[in-house]
Amino acid sequence: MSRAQRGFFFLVATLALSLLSCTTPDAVSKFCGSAGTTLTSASSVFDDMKLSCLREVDSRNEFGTFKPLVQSDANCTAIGDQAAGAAAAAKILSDYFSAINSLASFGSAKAGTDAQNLLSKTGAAVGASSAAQTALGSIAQFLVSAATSGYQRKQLEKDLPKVSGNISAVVSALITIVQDDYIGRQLASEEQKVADRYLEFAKDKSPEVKLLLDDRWHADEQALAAKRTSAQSLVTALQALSKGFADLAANAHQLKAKEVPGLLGPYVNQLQTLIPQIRKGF
Amino acid sequence: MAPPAIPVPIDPAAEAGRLADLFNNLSQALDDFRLGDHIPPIPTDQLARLKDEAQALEDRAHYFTAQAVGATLQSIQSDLANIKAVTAQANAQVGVLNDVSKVISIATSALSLGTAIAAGNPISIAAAADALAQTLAG
Repeated sequence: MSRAQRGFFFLVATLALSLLSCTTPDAVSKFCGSAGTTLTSASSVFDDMKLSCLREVDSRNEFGTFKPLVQSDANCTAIGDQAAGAAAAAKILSDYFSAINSLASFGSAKAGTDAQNLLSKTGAAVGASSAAQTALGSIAQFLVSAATSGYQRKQLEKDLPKVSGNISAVVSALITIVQDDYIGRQLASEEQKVADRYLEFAKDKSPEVKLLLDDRWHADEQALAAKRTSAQSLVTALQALSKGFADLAANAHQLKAKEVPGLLGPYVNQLQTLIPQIRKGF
Repeated sequence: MAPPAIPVPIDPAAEAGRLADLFNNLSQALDDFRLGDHIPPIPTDQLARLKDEAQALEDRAHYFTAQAVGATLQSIQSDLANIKAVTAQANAQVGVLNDVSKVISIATSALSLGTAIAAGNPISIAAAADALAQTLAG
């Protein structure tokens, strides 16, 4: 290969790298990825809404009656059906973030990899040197990015603010269901009724038996507290998701701005910290 | 003459939630009474009756909790429909980008085949033609 050819390939590779190193769609992609994972984690909380109701109904049986666990209750089934609706709403949100993620991450992964793989095969077939193969791959990536980045940015600018109000409304509804219905009503009621069951059984019992019951009650109480903490983590995560998306949508017209990754970074970090906490109690 | 009263819009989810709380509080009040110390003690049959009533009130609380969740979901149906529509548009846009990428891959692969033909090496030509055929198929 001549010096001129080497220079040309080097220039093309540099241009390709500079185009591919645009961090703003990457920041959008990271945020959307974390948002999608948060929403998927919410299913554990929604699944427990019916289970919490059944646990409460089950606690009506006195200790020592050895009745099988309650499998079905009409009102718990109704709660379960509505909770499934909430999970479905979370899935619709998750699908949206997944689509935006695909759009924002296009050109940084799949298209570049496909082009690189193809060029490696054809480059090897024509006996090109490894440097030429790399340059050919860079050219393909450069061409794909040049052809698609403008369209990608334009569509992101449209797709993000279009549903800003809708996203906020749906997240707010999910927060209401988790905070008011699950934590505020179901877990609170279950906690009271479990305590009543122990209180009822402990009446007129010896101090030794009361101590044993106290230990068991503490274990039940800790399990409930873990679920409550996980659900509260979900609420915090949903609030961060809503606020982060509102900021992203408000800046959709300037997605190439250097400030955008800095804007979204704290939300991504917060979501990634909260996601394992959501799953912990279930 | 007093101005006509302006009706306050009813929030079905909030109303159902309040009813759930009311029945739950009533149920707990009965249980607190039942489990408290009484002189003279409450007869066993009356204790059993109180327990049944508390459980029936809790069942009502569960019913209204389901109603509250349902009403909340009902209020966001148009939001969900709009989000679904935009998701479909975004997926279609990704499809367009994939098509562009494929076209470029085909063009570049065809260029490599042209190069192989110009070089005149039958093995290289066959390999490059196979690579192009795979791109067109995939």
